Amino acid sequence: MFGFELIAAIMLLMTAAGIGLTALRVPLSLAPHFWAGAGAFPFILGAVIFILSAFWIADMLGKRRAVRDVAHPPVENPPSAVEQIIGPRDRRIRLYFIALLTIAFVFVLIPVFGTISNDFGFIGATFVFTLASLKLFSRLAAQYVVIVSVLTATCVYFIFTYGLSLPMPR
Amino acid sequence: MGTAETAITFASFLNSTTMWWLFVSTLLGIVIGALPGLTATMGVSLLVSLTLGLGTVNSMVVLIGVYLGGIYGGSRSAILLNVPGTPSAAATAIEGFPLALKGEGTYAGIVVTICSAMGGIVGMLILWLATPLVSRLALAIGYWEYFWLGMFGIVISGSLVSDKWYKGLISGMTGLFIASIGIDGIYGIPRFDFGSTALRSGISLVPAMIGLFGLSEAFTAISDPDSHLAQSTRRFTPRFMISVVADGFALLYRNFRLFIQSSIIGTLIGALPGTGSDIAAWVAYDAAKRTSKKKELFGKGSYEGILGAETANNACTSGVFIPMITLGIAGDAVSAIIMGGLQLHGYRPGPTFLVENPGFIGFLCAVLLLVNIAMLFQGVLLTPIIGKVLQLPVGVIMPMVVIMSVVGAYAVNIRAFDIGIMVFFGFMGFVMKKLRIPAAPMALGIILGSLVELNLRRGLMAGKYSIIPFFTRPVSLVLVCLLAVFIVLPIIRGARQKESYKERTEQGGRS
Repeated sequence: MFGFELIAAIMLLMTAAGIGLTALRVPLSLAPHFWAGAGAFPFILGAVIFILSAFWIADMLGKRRAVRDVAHPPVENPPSAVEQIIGPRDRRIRLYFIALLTIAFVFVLIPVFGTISNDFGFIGATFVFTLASLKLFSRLAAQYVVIVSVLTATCVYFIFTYGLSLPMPR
Repeated sequence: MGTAETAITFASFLNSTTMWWLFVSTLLGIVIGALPGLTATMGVSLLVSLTLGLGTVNSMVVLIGVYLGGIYGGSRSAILLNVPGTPSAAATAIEGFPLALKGEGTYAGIVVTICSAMGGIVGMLILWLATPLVSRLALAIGYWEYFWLGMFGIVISGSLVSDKWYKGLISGMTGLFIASIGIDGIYGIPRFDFGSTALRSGISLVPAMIGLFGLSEAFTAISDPDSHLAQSTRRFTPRFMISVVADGFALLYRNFRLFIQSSIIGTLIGALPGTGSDIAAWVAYDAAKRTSKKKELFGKGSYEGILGAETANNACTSGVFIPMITLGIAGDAVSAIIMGGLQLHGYRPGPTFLVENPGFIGFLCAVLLLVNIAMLFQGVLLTPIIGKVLQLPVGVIMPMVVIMSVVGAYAVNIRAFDIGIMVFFGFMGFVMKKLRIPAAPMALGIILGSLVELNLRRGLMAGKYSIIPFFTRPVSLVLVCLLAVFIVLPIIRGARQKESYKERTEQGGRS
């Protein structure tokens, strides 16, 4: 967890520095003064986030040193860094699957089904996504997985198209 | 607003379609709140864009119904499962679950329902009386005070909701930066768009919110379903329910002073920008403990404890509307999203909002009153059903949340780019959870970003590029002092914790 947090804090520090430097290059245009210009506010925020992330790093390193100064009994089979962050293997696998499924749903299924049918593309994508996620994450029997998927896709279509008069993603 | 005008607002509001949406949304809110992991913020963020087609009145009814129902619903799983459905129900779980273990879960649930509804109604009355006064005061506030009010909200939220003060501030400041992406509001200069036309128009609040609160929660729940595990519940009979309701009202009558105290605490905390129903619940719970004659029962199942916490968190739901409609400043993440919903319908909450829309306060109070009444009836009647809903597996519910998130993100601006933004914020929200960085200050930062920036720059311009007016105007000075207190207090608290941690580790090492 320490390593993960430290990497996150360092990345934030670098991003904040990047924000500050980029903000300095924002053109002044009609602004008579930098502090009235478009770059002033992001510059201030970049500086504040930089200071806060530096504090975060310092706090973590200080705490780490305090722990190291004290002798601790050795731990048998200490959990790995990934295990500390996400949890045991089964949790990690579930997380990877839902993350991949979501990405596939948004960036593959919706565009692909959208090219097949403008009006019903999202319904097809929703059906496939629901089917896959129910199969992976629920203990429903195969026939119920199909029934729930069909019902979900149909409900989504009717509620948003006729009930709420909203367009569907394509 | 006169009584006659309020009566007219009420009458125009009572039509079958609106009442249907009020009933359904309150019910939906209760279910969302009762399901661990699904919060009122998440429910409202998912629905804000989905209700666009319903029109302003019905859309606001749905959002408020889900909000109030969600805050109340959180208590159900807190009592029955010891899993607070929403963060605001955490204090309720401390007292409610021991009561459930003693076999008093149903009674505790009914007490919570009555306290929540009655607390919400008292909060609504305070809102009705206080809003016109605050609105008049708001007209005297300038750029400098607005800047500090915005910052005040973000800093309070950041320092109170996080175990590390700097993490909350990082979240809030990042939110402010996200809001600054796109075309600058004064000179029209694009910033941080990296040549992307989509980014030039900025990052929309709603997709970001859905990602931060909705998608990230779906990831968390699916990866760790045990954290959202439900237990089976017992059967109830109508006669038993009626006697329990009567006992609940009797308990409220016996603790009337505590009830009023908690209602006032909840509403006032709700009116403070940057706070929210979770803080209201804890403060009122603490106040109930301090004023109680049966302090020994706290932590072991105290009705005074749940009365204090639940009355305050629902009274708070009315209080959050005071700064929102009078100053245009959202008090917490969920009111920020509701404010975003109002803006989507073309309304601009702020000092002149009530002058331009004099009927709004009557409408709002009517909605709050009716939702609280609906909540009271539904809460009592649904007690057995809620127990069943809680047992739905996470693997079935969460994929639906992902689908709702995608549709919700897309529907705001009808552009696919927003779905990508929602997914990005979903992953970001998940990582933030792992890093124990709260998402609420970021949400406030995104919604208040443009207000804070524009007022900072306008204040600088009006003061001939001097920052002195930001510190010398009376209201500004008060806000700066309060802000300093809220920044310094968590630092002192953190230093004390560090000291005690050091002592503990040293003692541990010696032993």
